[in-house]
Amino acid sequence: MSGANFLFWVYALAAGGSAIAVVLTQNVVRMAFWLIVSLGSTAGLFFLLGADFVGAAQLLVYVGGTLVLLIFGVMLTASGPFINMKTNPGELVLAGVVGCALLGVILSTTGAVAWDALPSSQHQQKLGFNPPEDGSTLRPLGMSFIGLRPDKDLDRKGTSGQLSTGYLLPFEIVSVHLLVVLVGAAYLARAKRRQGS
Amino acid sequence: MTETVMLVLPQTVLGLLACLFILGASFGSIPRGSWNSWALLGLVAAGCTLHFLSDAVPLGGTTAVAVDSLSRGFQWGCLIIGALFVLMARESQAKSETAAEFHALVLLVICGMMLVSAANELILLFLGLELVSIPTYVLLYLDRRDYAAQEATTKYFLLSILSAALLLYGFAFVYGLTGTTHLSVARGILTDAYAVAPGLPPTGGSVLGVVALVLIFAGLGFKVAAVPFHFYAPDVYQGTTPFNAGLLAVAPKAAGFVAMIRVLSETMVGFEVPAERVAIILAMITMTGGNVLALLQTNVRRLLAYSSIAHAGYMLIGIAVGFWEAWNPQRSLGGETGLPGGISATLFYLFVYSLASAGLFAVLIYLPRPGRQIEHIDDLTGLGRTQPLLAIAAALFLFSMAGIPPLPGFWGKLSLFMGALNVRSAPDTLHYGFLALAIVGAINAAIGAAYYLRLVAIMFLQDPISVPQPSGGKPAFAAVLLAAALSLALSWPKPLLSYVNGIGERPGVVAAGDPDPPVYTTKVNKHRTEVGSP
Repeated sequence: MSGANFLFWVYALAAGGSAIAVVLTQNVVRMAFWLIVSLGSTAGLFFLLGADFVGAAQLLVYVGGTLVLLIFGVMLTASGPFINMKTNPGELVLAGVVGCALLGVILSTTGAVAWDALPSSQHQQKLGFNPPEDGSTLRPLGMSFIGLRPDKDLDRKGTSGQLSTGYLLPFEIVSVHLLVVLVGAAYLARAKRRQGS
Repeated sequence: MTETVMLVLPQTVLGLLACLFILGASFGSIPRGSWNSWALLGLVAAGCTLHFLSDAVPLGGTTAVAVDSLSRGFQWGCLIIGALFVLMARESQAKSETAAEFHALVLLVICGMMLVSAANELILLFLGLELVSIPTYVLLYLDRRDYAAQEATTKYFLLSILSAALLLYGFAFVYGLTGTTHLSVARGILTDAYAVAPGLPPTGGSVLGVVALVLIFAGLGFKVAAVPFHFYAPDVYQGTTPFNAGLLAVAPKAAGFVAMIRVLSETMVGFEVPAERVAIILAMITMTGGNVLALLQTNVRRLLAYSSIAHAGYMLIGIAVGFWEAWNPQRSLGGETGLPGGISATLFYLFVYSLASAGLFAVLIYLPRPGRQIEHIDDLTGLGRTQPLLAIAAALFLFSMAGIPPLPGFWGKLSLFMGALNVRSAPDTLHYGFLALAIVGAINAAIGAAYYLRLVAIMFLQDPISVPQPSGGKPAFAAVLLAAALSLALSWPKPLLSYVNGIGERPGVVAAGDPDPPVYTTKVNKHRTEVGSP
């Protein structure tokens, strides 16, 4: 077993095991801790795949940002009755059945798919894969977010000066999303303060 | 690059204007009443750019933004219905201190719908759908802050996020199957891999595609409020203002259906048979569930929520027929009868339904006395005596929804049901699934007529309990009349039907070259590697 394989199993077991622990724990703070382990191990899996940007984003946004907020939120608001989450058995059974059904579907799909015969793999074999040790997806991703795709435009023939847009448009739309979220958060916070005073 | 900027110019106009509104709101000097006029002007400006765009940019192309008759027609529809909604809100927002934000968010919702229809890429499509949902969360909370509104907002927020996650999961499977996020390229790749001669049953493709299909149906099922995913609709409609309820009845539904057409009907070549089955089952339970539960309602907005669910079911008939037509192109309905094929019928019905819905909710905005809302259906008692013009318009919308000829709702239902009836499994035997679908549809139309006519009877046949003091203002009344006039005009459905008829065909296949591969798979050639790494 190679080192990468070994690490894969470590991260995969940590991600899956702590995800189960999140569901089974009833204390909110412990849930948050297990979530950190789960999301952090997922970031590890991304790094193993050579997707350094996605891995870093996962660490920064989920582990660093969202979870710290979650823990702050729990610390500030949770008192007595809310720190422990009790689910009634009916909900537990229903959620368990639905979750297991989904798991079954996905597992059986994974087993049934002939991965090498997929159109995407054939398409990919024509293009070739990135060697995993290549890494460094950050620069091309960043450039494509500001609308530059030199990797594509340089060897393109006969396009009479037309450049590709990369992901500039999606990037702008996401920033509009964030603006809306900010406005919403501001009103939410203001309403709270008005009630308090 | 400039090409792509041109292609999304109408959306850019709306988005920029919305950002300016939010910025301008922080300066107190702009009168609150003027935002509405600016929003209307913005819609007109977007309409102008859309009109000139059709001369400037030819149809077709393989950029991330698709310009075809579907996107153009849908965008015009969004602008028309959007203008009606802005008009409705004029009076209630004239003195509101959040008027600027409110109008900015409404413009962004319209912008999001237009983006969804123009998206030729999974990422863009998803972001467009989110641009419809995220402003809606804020809108739900902006105007009404009592307990019911908080419950409605939370419910909609959480379920909408769950649906977005399901949708994204489905998109990930599509990407795993095809290796591209570009829809026309994906269509080409799937055609290469799975297409068979027209008329033969599709090979079935990979299981991966079926899972993707089901997940995408589930995710978009939330947006269009199809039955197993409809639980939020009645509570949310009841717990929010009539304006928001109207917007929810139209915007996510329209965006959801156009996304369904883009991702499933146009792209998933080779998966028509499972898609057809899922759509048939969804359509049946959605129609029946919505209509039967609507019969039991006494709250007007809850009733309209269930009725909007039922209408989603009717539109799913067209989607199902569209899948069948996709692998039986030579037997598609288009030419012979003059009635549109499945997808076209869905689009026609979508516009007609949106018009009637917008009109009905405009009535609910106009009618209540200050500080009170129309809750119980008895609040409408005797409207025919006290507000005859309004009652006639409301009856027109209800008749159109019930599908009474010659109103446009009738033509929509006729096209949908005839589409299902014309499906033949072999040249002259009936296809039982679609036959059952048409029969269930007809029964449901009858059930639907029962509760729509009950509302009409309450308005016209009972004596008024009290004299209404409408507080919605003249613009809302104008919106009612405009919607009524448009509905009446569509009673001559030929122009719109022949327009949508051209839309429903599956677009041509783009060669499975690689116009827009993901960044991290392109470093194949030597010199590419040099560019990509430092």
